Amino acid sequence: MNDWDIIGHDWAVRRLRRAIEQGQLAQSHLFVGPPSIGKATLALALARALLGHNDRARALVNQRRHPDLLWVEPADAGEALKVEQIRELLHALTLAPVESRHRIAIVNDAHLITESGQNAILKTLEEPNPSVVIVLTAPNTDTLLPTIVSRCQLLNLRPAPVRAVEEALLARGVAGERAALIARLSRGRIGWALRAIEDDATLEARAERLRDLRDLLTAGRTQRFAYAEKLARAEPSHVVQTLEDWLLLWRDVARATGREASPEALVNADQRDWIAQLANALSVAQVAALLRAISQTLQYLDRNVNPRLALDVLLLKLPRLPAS
Amino acid sequence: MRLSCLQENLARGLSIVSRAVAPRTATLPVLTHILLATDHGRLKIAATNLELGISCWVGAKVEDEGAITVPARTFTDLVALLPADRVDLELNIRTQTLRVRSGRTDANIKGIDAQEFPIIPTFQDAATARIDPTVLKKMITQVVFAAATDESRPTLTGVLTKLEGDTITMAATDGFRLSVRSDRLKEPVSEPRTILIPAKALVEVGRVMGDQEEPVAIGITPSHGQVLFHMKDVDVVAQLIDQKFPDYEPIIPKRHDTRTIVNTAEMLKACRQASIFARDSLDTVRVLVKPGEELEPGKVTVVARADETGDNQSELEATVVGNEIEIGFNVKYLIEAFSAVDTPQAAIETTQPRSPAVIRALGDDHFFHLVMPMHLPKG
Repeated sequence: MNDWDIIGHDWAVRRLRRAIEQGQLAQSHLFVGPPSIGKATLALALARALLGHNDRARALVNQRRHPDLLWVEPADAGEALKVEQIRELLHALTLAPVESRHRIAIVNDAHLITESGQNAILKTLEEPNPSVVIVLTAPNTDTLLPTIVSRCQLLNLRPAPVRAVEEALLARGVAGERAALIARLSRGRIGWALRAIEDDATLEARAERLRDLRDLLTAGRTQRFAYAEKLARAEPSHVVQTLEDWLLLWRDVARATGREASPEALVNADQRDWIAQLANALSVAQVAALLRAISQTLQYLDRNVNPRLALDVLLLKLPRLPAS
Repeated sequence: MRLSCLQENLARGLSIVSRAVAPRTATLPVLTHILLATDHGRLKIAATNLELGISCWVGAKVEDEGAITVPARTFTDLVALLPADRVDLELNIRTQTLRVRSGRTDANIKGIDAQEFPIIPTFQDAATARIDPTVLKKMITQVVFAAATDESRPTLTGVLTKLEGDTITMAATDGFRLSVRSDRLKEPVSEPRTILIPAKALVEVGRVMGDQEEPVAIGITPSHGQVLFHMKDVDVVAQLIDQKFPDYEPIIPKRHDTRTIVNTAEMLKACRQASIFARDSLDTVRVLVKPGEELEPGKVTVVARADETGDNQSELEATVVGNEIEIGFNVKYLIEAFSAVDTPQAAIETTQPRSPAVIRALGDDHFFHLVMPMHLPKG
């Protein structure tokens, strides 16, 4: 935890704070990093630092209701950010601040801005009004026009140390073992961890995905195809999450096949016995092949390969274990 | 908060501030609300869409101080239907609910904490300038129409307002025409100021002013972010456009080859007629100016032609000094320009068919309008 009440990202916070103190804060920023890592939270903290002159202003920033804070994101998660939303924002940015000395625009998931929207915002990014600070967030720089990236001060946010996430969860009163498990599963994405402690469904869904995997390992072709068909119809984000959960589990298995396997090193600590069983039953080469297959399937899905076909192929590559 | 006031005062106040209420699609819910607050023994009613803010004070009998915001639509609609009688307003702080009672009506409206309402500056310090209301109104009608309504060039949606010495100058342009008017302030300003006020906000200032006779005080906030027009019981606050207005001086023609003086009303009528026929030809009209000869007076002919509709031409007498010229215009711009001329006669100054024309109010040197010509098709 640091002065801005942000878990992790100490380096980024220090850099932004110093820039503000020295009056050298850039006007256009781009925060990149994996989802749920705290990009928007950091952007909001920056807004709080610039606009929060008193308790009222800080409270309004936290609720995203400050008149000088312009928060733009897709109306529905994953949908495109419409060019009208961008136009409205650009208009607001031509006006002087209402209450403070700044107007802060936060465009969350800027990679979802349509191309015409990205072009519309270029000029403002290049030369905003003196009072304006713009923060764009995106998973990486490849998803934005290069002309946008080059106009912004880039801040690459990395996952927080698992230890820091665990401490944050403990500080929120989460029991030790659960905190450790969630922290590891989060892979340093603090936003994901906080959602997991608030909403049991996150962990429950993971447990179900692992149960499915367990069943599939002993299942025949017909059942596997049936599962692939069902999964292929689900939301793309659900499919990706499923494969990512499996990937984490097989990585644990790979670790367990190694000679120096220590139980602390496992991400899925709650699945210790099953992981040991799998490590016994399969060869190192088999596990490695499986890890490659899952990663590859994730890449295929990212490139819009037919999900049904990709999943069929993956499920056929799963080893078949005798029913226990 | 507990107070009572008269329904008609409340309804009048609500109608004044209503234009500043944000549409229901606004990102901040509180912008669709109206602020009700006790203020030195009166009721202050305020609304803002972060571009334009209007505050209005009405007489009230205040028993307890306090403030709340209520949904503009619900509250305005309710007040409109109350009897013309005393209205009691009482705030339940715990539930942030406003109880409205009048005659046999007893309503409760759920509000949002007044703390969430953006701070609208009110008139406190000495005025930057003071101006006669009729003068300000005239400036607004003669200039604001030339501002751009298209948001793609935000700078041009503003009206450049210069305060220097005892002179105020307003200028607006949309890239096709330019309207400038200067006039007198009540007393000289202490230092020259130049600000860019959204045209939309000035329209509201003109509307709210009504037939007030007291001078309007103009104040610029210390942050230079807002301009405030202080009128009788009403403040209008406009968020300034934080950009540089184009320097228009260089495009003003230094000389002219032809000066044509027409009767303003006749010219306006000719343009209105022509506009009927110009609808299908991009509003283009042809204006022919012919100097008089020994026995014949000079004349101006406004011609419109559309293949589908037909054609029309109106001729009017004019005093023409200089060369004959044929020049094309967007007739809508001509109509707006001649409507802004409030003297009986107007002067049109031209040089070439491709150079801008200047329209002046004869006898009023403080108004100046420039309009770009349109390219005329051959034939």
